[in-house]
Amino acid sequence: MRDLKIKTNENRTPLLVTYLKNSLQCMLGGPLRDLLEKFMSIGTSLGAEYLDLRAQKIEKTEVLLKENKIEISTGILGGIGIRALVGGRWGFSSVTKLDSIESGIKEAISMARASGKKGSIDLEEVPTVEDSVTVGRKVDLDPRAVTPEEKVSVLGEMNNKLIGIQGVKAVTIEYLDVSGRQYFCNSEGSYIEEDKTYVWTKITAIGRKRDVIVTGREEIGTTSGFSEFLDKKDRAIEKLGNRIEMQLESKAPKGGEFPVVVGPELVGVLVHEALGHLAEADLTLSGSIIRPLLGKKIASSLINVYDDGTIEGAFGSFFYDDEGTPSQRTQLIKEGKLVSLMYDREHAMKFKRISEEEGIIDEFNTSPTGNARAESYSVPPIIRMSNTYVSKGDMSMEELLEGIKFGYYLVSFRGGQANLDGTFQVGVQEAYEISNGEISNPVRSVSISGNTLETLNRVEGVGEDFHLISGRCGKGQMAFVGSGGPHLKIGGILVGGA
Amino acid sequence: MPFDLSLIIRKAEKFGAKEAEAFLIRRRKMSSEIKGGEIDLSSTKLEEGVGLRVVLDKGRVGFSYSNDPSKQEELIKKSIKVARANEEDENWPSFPCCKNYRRVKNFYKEVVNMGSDEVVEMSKLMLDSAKLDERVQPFFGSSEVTYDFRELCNTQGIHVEEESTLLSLNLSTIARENGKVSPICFEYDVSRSKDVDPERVGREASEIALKCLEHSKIESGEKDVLFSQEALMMLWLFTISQGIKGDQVQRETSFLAGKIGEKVASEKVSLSDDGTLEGGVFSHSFDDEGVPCQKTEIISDGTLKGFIYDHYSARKEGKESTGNAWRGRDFFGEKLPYTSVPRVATTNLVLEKGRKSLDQLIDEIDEGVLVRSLQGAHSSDPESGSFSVVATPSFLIEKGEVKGLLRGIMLSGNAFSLLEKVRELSRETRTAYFLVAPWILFEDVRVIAKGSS
Repeated sequence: MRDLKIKTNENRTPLLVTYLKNSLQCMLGGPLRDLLEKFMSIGTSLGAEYLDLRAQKIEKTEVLLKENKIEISTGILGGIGIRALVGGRWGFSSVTKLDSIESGIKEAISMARASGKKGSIDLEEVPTVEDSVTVGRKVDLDPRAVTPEEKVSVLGEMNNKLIGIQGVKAVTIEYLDVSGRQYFCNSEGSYIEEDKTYVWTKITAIGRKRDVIVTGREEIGTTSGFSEFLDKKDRAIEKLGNRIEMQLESKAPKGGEFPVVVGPELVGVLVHEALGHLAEADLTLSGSIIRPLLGKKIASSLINVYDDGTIEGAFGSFFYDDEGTPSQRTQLIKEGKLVSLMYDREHAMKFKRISEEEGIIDEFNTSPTGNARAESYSVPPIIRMSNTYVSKGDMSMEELLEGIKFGYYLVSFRGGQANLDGTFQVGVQEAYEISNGEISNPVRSVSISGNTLETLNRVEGVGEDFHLISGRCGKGQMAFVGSGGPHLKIGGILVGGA
Repeated sequence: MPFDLSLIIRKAEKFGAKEAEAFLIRRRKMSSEIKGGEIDLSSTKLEEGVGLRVVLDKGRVGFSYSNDPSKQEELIKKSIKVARANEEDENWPSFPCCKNYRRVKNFYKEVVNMGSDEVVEMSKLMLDSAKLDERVQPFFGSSEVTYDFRELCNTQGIHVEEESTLLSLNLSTIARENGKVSPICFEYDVSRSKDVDPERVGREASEIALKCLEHSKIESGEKDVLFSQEALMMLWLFTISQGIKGDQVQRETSFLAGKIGEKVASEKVSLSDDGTLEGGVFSHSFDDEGVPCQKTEIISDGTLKGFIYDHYSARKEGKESTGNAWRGRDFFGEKLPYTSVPRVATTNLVLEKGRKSLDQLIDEIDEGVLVRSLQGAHSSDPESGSFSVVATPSFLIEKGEVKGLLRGIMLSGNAFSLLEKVRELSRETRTAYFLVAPWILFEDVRVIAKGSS
């Protein structure tokens, strides 16, 4: 399929093959370390400035329950992703067989060379790490230890409970668990093993009353194991059932600009979509509206925002990112001021230079933040959020609602999207009118939109509560993330009617 | 040891399966990615794996997949284990049987033979032509070549294989001038053969972004709205293309359920699903269950004619599959086809073109909106069809002329009822992902602009 230009050292190959044969039994299961390190030296001898390798073996179970039909699938996937930096440009290759690693390394190097002459990529330094996060992690009931029969029976019960609720016409439950071990090593000497466990469920219920059809969704996601999912499922069913009943009685909203009180779930999606993506350093550099605002005030001084990959059990948590940088708690907005972006090593270096050239305030962070994540071995890591949230304030719900003559209380969302120019759109699946400071009639099919900076500046109150939810985010690759915050009062937001 | 599908299904029977179906995909992908105005990463990916469906007595189905050819026996055992956990299904029809196949032209040797230099060159050409104007930053994009080998083998006697190729280009740009920033503007090209034009992609991605530096305003209200193919694709992806699925109709979760023979759209609307369309991005000789692809009428002159089916949903109604069983069509990320069971999905959804040119359509609009793309279409409700989205980039049309960018306007309504409000279709057509369509002019679409209610 492609032309190979790299000259290889022929003498090296037989030795390697012998080595591989001896090591095959440890393919993605045993001590891969020596093998991986061997490959590092091959890569650097071929001219790579930097090389990293991620080997992964994951097991997945998926169940789709759609009314009375059940689909169950299980699978095992293994593979290796190789990234090489040559002449300031990246080359990447992925292979699924261990005996293709060497050719994979050559491919990656050759692809980097094909990209052209001197590129501008350079990596910010991070400490080399040797660590194994494979035991002692708190996983309460590994989903692999639960039989498919048990999973189906739990989901069947959930389905029956929901179907029994008045007005619920159809239910779909999607269940996914992913467990696996990842091995990371790079040419700087880092070697990391990390086990990851995700349990995720999305429940969709469709309600119908005469001509009115409404849809409600709830997601449950955890990195704490199957027990946590069992603990959370009843609450999710109850919430969804109530929502469907309420939505069937709801009326269409008015379109226009109104003051709103936004619940934690929606604050989460706003902070993720409207702010988070703009503060992913690759997108910031690509022209996001906050590019000229580094270190400056971009939000109401009531606002503090964090991206935190260290929260135990949260859906967006992990120990090391896919470049071997430890996850951390990064403050993005401090009292309204933009104090950090989310970085990988490449973009941390780019912003360090920008920060020096433009004389951005010292408080502005340009160290790698552990946000380089890859969906699987078959794709290179890109900058992704972990758990992104607004930290809590001190106002009660009554105080937030006070003084709103007419507006909306926005509780739960069904998807959102943002553009680099700062415009965002979020579909809302549960909302109520606010009249004279009180929550009143439910409204359906609302969608809100606005401009991030305007919206963040119009925050007038921050609640004293806090809640984090789980979700999936698509940026070409899928990532498990968390988001949330307290209730917020926003002076005005554009509400699109039905 | 390579994967051997005939052996896998024979062994599955030996291990207790009544029926078995093995699906293999071998995919080679080469791409050159653009980030922040330069070529950032080039890559090659090799994937090969098998998905195995087995059926025990009384329609208990199990599915398992693997990309490790040294563990084929484990794969079989796993799928049987999964089937045991499943419930009986009285509607299970058995796997499809052999049919007559017609080769669809979807493989081009010259695409397979492309070297990495050629792929990178396409990205460079896109970049260079987009950068001709210094106000434009081409910040994200890629050139991608995919080769697929698909093979399917089942115990009903089907054993088919097919090679296909696909070349796709895309580029996103932003333009900036005097503190004004355009929204993300996107242009693309896609083909089974080498017939793509990177320079055009770069040039047009740049022109649209520049056009966004001029701003216009519009009042809220019911307006004429002209959708590009891309905007229509986004709206329909989450609404119409869900509502025409046979299984959704059977569940009565489609707005179109029970409406066969009824008028559901303007007489100007004729819609079909065509898996045999020449040059179609979704054209194949057979679907992911081994059923030949075909052309299926959905709406003819405004009247609802039929739906699309996989084998299971078709047999449930005593019908034949329309060749619409596909794997791995997930909206999130990249899902390898062998890792999922087949589900009902569109092939090429073809909306018949009209007689007037795009210019004529614009010329006849007194006040309206031209929508290039949508934001937030995935929050639409697939069951009812209701949507509320940001139209970006979108432009004012005034007295037959396209004016400046409309910032942050929203459109809301119902994708199904909009079908009845089609006033005109252009004669120019274009492929946008699964949709092959003309420009489409809807009347009385609710437009919500900022600063008015």
